[in-house]
Amino acid sequence: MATIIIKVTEKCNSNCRYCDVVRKENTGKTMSLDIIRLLFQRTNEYLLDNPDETLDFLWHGGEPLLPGAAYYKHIIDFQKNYCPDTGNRISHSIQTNLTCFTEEFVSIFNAMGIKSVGTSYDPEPHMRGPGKNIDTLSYNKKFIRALKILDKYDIGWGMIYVVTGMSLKDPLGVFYFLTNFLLTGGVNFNPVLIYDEERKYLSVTPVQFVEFLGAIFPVWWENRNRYPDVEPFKSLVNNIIHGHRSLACVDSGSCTYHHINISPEGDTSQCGRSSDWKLLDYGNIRDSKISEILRHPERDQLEKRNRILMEGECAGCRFWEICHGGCPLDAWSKHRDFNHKSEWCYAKKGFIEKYFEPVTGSIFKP
Amino acid sequence: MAEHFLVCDYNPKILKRIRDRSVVFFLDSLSKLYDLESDARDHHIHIHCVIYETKKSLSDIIYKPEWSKFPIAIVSPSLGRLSSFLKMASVIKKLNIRFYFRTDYENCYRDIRILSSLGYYCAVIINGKTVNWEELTDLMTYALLNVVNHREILPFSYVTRYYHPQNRTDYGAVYFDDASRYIHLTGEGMLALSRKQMNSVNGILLELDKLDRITQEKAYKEYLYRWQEFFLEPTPCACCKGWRICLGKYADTIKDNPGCRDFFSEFLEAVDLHLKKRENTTKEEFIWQP
Repeated sequence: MATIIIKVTEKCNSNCRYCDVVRKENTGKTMSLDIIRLLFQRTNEYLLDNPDETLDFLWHGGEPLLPGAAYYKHIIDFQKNYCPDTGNRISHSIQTNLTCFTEEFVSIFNAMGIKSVGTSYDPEPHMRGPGKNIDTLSYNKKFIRALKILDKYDIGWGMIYVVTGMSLKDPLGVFYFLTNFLLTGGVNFNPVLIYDEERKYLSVTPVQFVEFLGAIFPVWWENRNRYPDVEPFKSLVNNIIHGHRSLACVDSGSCTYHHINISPEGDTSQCGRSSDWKLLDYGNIRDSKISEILRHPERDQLEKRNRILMEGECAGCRFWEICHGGCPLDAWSKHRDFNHKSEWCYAKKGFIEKYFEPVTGSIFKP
Repeated sequence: MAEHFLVCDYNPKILKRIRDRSVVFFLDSLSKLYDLESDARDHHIHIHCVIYETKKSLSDIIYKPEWSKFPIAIVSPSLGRLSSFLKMASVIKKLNIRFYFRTDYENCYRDIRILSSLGYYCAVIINGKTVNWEELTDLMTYALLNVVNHREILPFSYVTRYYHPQNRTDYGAVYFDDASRYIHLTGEGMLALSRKQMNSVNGILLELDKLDRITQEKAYKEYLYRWQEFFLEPTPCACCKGWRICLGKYADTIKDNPGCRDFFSEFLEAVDLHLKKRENTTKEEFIWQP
């Protein structure tokens, strides 16, 4: 299955302190319906040519609900009209801040087969919210209002929590906040990625991220029946203890030919960051078929990276199988070159060696 | 959804309006039990429980064998003289009765422990202002983990009964303060979501004859989601390990009487431990349950 990340809009109604999208130049573009129509035409063509393939559309932004319910009704119509025999091989997911979510979207989500939404939430005041002053309270009220609607219609949700410098003083407080809010866990801890000096105070180092996770992990491990869905812990247990290989894109080493990011103007790239940084340009959807984009020669450098790392920087590393040198974009952000391991290498290796293995008593063996 | 229980003062004038309902009655005298019984029969009212709050010690109450027909909750400040109480044991043992003690009285922890170990059902009413959290922790540990035989103590055993590790567990029903199960009724036939709200100007929701519509009321829906308000900001309650069984009940008193955080964290651990111990065994319930 390939994933198509559709940056519906670069507009956002929130001014999250750690977010790059709202700080981008030329921000504010929204994908035209013509491009979306074309995307479905291209999708149909691709799926007809590849009868064993499926595609996952991840609606992303900016804030993807900002274009409104009518916009998404067109999307449903496009799928019906342009993918009459292949629509059943398209799945949809969405990453939204939920603050524009209304009951009107419920039937849209149903029609798109979206049973759970990805969102994010931060307990820290003035981290997330609209306006110059980052009005967290008004944001949170809208968020909570949306949760009531999700609950009413039995739509699930999970959240990404971005670990920043502000999170470090009370990791367990953050953990309890999030798991009290969403009782099964449903939380994914990701480190903040800051690339400018102005917001350096928000950044965390790989060592700090490990210590953040390490403060939480023993509590999670002891009570994992209480909070089962906390990442990256759950995945590590599955991969290391149960031997079930299921890796996120950054660790899989196999994102090369399976990801497409489409900007509001139809430009394609590997992912959001490569698009922002004008790297890995796979052409515009107006000019290229999906099969051409997925086989674009620019991608080959990512595939070669696997071999270079395995024989070089990562040679002999016992975690290779569950890491593959991490995300190439992380490597690029530090070295301006994909052919290095991720600067977040220690975040995985250090966490497993310092906390995961001693606490669980399970040693990862490749 | 199951039909709500109504909670009200015993007032003969209102009985004809609550025909066929299950009701919790507050009585100001246990001598009124007989009137209540005949009134309830006449109006097809099911008595879920009778609550009698008194300033008397339990040992100063004269218990009657005829009360055995009624599920009774007695709220009293203390046990009183144990010897006097035990003289009535043969009668009391046959009653469907639970003794409630408020943490406003410092001996409540001791009295509950004594009564529970003698085989009487007890409950502690936790007032965040007056509770001694350490004493309560001892009592909770006794209630859930002590291997010596004793009767259940609420709300501890209530939580173990309804607890699921991935859910919130609201023990408000132990005090008939849970609008998903108990709706309160004024003497004028007006409905409220709690006894506290019943006495406040904005607390009244509807007239009694609209009871069946109450779940559609905005205030009712908001009440069920009131827990979410804790997550608008990083409040101490939202960041507390024990929140999923406390639900912020002591948010107003945490500054003046801290200790709830430690108590509910211990409580949560004890519940898990208790349930592990209790696996594969089922306990029989003998008297009325809230």
